[in-house]
Amino acid sequence: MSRPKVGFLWNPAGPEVMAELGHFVDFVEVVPDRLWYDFGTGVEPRFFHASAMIEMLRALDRPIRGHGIGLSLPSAMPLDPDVLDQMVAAAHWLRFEAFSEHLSMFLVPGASVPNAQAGIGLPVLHDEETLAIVVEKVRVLRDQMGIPIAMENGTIFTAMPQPPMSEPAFLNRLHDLCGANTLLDLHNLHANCVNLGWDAEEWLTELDPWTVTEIHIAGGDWLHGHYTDSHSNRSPPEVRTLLERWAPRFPRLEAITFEYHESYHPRIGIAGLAEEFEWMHSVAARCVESESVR
Amino acid sequence: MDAFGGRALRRIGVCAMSLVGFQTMLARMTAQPDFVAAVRSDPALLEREPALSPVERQRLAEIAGSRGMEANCMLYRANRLAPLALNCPDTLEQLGEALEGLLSAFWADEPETHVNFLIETDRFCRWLDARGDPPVGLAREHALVAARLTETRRLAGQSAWPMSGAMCCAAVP
Repeated sequence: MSRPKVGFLWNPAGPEVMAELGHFVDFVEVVPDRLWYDFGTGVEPRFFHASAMIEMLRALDRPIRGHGIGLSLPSAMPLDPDVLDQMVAAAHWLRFEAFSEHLSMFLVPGASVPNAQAGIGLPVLHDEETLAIVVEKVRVLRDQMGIPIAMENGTIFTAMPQPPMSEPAFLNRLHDLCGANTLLDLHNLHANCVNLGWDAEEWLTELDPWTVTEIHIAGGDWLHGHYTDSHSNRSPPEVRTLLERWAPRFPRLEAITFEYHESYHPRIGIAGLAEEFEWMHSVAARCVESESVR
Repeated sequence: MDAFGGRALRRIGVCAMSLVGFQTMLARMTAQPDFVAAVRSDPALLEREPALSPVERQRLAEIAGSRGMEANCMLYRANRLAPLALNCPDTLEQLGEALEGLLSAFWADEPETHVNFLIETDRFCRWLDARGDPPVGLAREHALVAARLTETRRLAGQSAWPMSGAMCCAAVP
């Protein structure tokens, strides 16, 4: 196994991070949807590109991974072909080495406009119907982009009653059926444990370790008694413990990504980021050291 | 449409229509706290939705009754507020205590969030202006939003990347 790379989710503070801490950064992850303004379906031309940011990323001397939010694969509706085209073009132009999407519903089917936003990432029913829809869309993405596709476990506030299968079982099936990898977001999992009483160890034990190619870490905030995945802090101790315990157990792990929102850049600070990156690198090194015991 | 997941939807057939109804209803509950309250007090309300199966009605009733539904509704409102707070902060400040009621009325009139922050804000500014007696900051902030919207619309279509490779999606029957 090669050593997992360490990186962060690109945001407008990215240039400062690269200038100050570039030596810690093996790769960056980009949300393609943040590289354009979408005027909506039926509008021509539909997209305005953030060209300066795109050129900055293209000139960056680092591998780039794509992390989409706009395709909403579990929604019971076809993919938006215009958004798909933009995602694919971004993947080619920025030479994404991998692409991921969320196992959450961001688009609402049955609305009067095709791309009606749910407003938040809503929970998904893990059943055969949803599985068939996601599998089909993952295959389209993989065929068009020509790179590995991963799906990220969601953060939810309401558990789906009587689920036909658990989330890790759903991710395992996805991998079996279409080769979709798992982007394991440990902060999402932690938030679900806090809010819904899940057991992280039990959840992780059920997940096929072979599926995991990337891990996300982040920090959150409390909002009126609910713990949120707000990307507003450094990773909490529980997430650190999970990463240290579990990262060495994933034989195909390629990348560990720290996610934070730019509005919290002053709160986290360059010194805080440096500490986060140093710790992430120490875990990445441990993954290689522990290979012999796997 | 088949290339974009339509095949799976067609294969699933009638069940997929049920899933559409379920997802639509979940989104509706998230956007409408009043509807959540109504379902909580009378879960039989969901029986009026013919697109739902009995187990889906039961799931939705349980979700409506869960503590987490309050967080869903809260975050929905926070996320819909974000584009307005970013682009017309003075207007929101000047609305003071009237803001909450006005936002609810706006979201009831415009239930579908637009992904583009400028368009979403422009819609709100127009809606607020049409009600009469707008706050003094509205005209200035709306003008700034409208100017940015015009500028981005003018430059839209100047693609930053070649589209020829991606457009092959459209050729799939």
